Amino acid sequence: MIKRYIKSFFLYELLLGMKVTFLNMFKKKITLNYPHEKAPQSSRFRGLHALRRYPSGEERCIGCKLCEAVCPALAITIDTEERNDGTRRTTKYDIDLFKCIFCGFCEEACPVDAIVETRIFEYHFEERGENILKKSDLLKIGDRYEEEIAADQAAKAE
Amino acid sequence: MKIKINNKEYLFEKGETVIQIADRNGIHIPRFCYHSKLSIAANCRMCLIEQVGVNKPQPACSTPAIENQEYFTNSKLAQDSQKNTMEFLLINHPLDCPVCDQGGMCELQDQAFMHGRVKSRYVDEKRVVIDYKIGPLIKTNMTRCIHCTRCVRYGEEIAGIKEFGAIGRGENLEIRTYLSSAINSPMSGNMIDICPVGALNAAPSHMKGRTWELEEVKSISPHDCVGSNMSVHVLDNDVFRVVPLENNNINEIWLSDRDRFSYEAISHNERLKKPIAKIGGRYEEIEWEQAFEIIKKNIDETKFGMSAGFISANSTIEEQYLFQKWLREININNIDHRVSQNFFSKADDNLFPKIDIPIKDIEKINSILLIDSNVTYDQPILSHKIRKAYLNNAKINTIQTFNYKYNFSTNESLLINPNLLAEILIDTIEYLSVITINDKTLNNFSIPEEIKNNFKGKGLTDKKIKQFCSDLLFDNSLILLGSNLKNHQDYELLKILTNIISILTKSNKGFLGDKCNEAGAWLTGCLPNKAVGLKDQKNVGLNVYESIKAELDSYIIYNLDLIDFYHYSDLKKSLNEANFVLGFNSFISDEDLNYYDLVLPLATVFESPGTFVNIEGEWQSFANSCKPFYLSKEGWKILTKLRLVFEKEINNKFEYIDIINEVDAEIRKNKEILDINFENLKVQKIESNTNLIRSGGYSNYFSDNIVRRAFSLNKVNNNKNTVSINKKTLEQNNIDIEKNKVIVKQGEKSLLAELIVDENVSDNCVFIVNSNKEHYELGKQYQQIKIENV
Repeated sequence: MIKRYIKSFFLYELLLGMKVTFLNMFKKKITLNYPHEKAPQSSRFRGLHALRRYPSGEERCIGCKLCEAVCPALAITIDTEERNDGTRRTTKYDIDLFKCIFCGFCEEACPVDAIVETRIFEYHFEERGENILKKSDLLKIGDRYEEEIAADQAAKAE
Repeated sequence: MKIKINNKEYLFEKGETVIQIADRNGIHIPRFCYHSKLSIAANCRMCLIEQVGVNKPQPACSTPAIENQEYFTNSKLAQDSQKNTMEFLLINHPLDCPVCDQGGMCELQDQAFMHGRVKSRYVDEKRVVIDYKIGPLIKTNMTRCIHCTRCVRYGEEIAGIKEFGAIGRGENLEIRTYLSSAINSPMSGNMIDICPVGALNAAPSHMKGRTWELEEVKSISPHDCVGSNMSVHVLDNDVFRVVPLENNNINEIWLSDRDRFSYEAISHNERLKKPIAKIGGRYEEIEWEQAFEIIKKNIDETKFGMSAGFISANSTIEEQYLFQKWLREININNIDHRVSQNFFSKADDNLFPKIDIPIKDIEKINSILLIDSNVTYDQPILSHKIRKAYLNNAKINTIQTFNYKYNFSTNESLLINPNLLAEILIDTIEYLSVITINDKTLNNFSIPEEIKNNFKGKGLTDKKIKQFCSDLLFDNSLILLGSNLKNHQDYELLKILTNIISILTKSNKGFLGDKCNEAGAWLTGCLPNKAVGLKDQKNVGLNVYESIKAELDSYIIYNLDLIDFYHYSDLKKSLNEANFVLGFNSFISDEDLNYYDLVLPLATVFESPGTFVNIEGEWQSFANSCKPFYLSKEGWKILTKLRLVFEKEINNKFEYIDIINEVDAEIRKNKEILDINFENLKVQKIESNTNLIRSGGYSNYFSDNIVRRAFSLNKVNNNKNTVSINKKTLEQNNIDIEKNKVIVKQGEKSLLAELIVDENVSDNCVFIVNSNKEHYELGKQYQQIKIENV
């Protein structure tokens, strides 16, 4: 009984808690100084989408619409047509990033590794409509980060 | 008799194969080459099953069931052999399912999933086959072919035109056309459906969508008089493709190319988006409300009896009903739908389009007489039925003005000039009346005086005519009058004569039509002398020809292009003179627009619900497949609104279902069909003393405003200016054959055309198939024509 009064009088439990705080002051910090510092990402990180090309410059996507079919959020819209050389190509490939839940199913469904999710997670929209990534946008992202994507794909395959 | 499959007993009849019994009882057996409508080839070996007591697996498709025999479709032996067959089939099949149009509805894909190995063990090179172009309707990818030969057998057995064949052996076996030519059958599209893999695909929808995205809507073919059932596949409110819907009474599982590919016209660039009116000499797009005001103002100004309305026999029965109802409410009695008819007589009740027997019974007929009918191209499904009859040893005779290509062989055919058609039929009747004079079962039927007194035959008792008569006297026979003859000046007489022959020979008769709802147009009273339900109209109006000739003040043209009219040039003249020309159409060409004061955009049959009555009198309703294009509206909506604009107090409700109920109550419930009335018969034969006559009808892909604009079909259609004339006629007219060109003249119009010397054409006949606007501009069918050297 007296023990309890003494403890509460000298704020023992508070000090006990403060001790944890105090000790952590000298520990290595686990927070990062974002944006100057960034956390490491897995090669399986699912960020912004990209459409890839073959080394020859030919786009990979063959317009099979499997990603469209598998997408649980119905974020992908595709229109296809036969190109002059007789191959099946997309005339429209839109991803609505407001709908997308970044599940990565599209990446898994793709038979030619055309649609991939990159490590990019920092982006913003300034105007209405920018949330929809068009085919040209997706290909641009793919072109820009091809090296990184290729490395990630190789790592995933292992 | 009984057999056991998978330890269960099933009943069967003698001659059935195991796969038939299994299919009937829902036992799954994989197969590629077997198709219930085709002969048995047993070359894919996918349907191997175990037969107890036989140490090798047996193909279920060609193994006849034996009484008390036991079979296993899922034993280890059966499963292993199916798995092995599948592995061999997949050796040369490319793994391009993601880009293949068949992906998602592919039999090979499904069966590889069920019966194949998970992983391929094949490491060598795969076979590649060169593709040949076989026309604008079918896209080939022969590398994917698994040699089931369904398409080859289809051509031989169903289409009747052997176009595909298997060339080479073993590894080098190829399915291709014998000569590198386009597929020409009017039912070629069915090969796309029966191909179990993606080797044959529909070209118009090639690579434009995937199967799993499509919505299916049941519909009825809007073209020939057969009323084929079809299933419209819709992708995002656009018709993606059309496939047949099984209906064993009509089209079985087949569909003609015209029905299958005509949907392409929906997005034609001549499609109307908004009402277009002529305001101050210029054409402007206006709002609907404004359009109704213009109609109200102009029609109210027109004097009584000075307007006429023409409706297409391709419109739905609801539209036709409302159209005549609206016009009669505003006192317009000059209503007609027979725009392609040449001549009208007073007693034209005799023209009701019908066939005496159900379409499915044509195959049981013993003898058929075709009178100038290009049935294979104009009514492909009926041609298929006639072919079935032919394969059942029916005798098929023809009296024709051109040796048409059929997909069956004819017994005897008589080639005559179109002017002589009626005379030949009268000769036939005279001959028949002699040989049936003692026949008491005819109930003293006598040939009407009118015919007896006024018409004389040529006195020909050709051997062929005797042959036709004796064949028609068979128990179960059929006479079919071709749809091209509608343009013929004696069409009505020909119909009456056909009818008399059918009575004398106790055979069935059929008057073929080229429009899908001609019977409906009769039943709804879209005629000057008939009201709804074929009741006699009190105030008889003018028919098409009279209305055009009378140069009225206003014309209302519903769902018709101007070239649909037989009296095309006269119509243009009258329209130019008229004060107000109102059009309802889905499409309008720039040239046609000049004749109109106001055109309302109409939804096509794919975009509005409706009912068609086919030649056998079958009522078939369908729903709309997609929403109307831009601001176009369904016909029933426009007409209902127009009725409201004109009549302030109408008690009816105006939902679609109310219109259906009204039509049902007024027409369907009291079914009445016109038969020929011989009592007050009054016909006249139009004497034509011309030397040369133009014939040929129109191309089957130019028959109505939808087909005319179907892009791929018109690529099949030969749009060249060609004229076929036989050698004798050319010599008589001193034409130089060497030049390959000839000038044809009708009145003041002339046309330079390529000359084809063709012995299939009858004497004194210039055969021009109407397949482009120049042909219509030149002049009318079955009229005098001149030919001159270039």
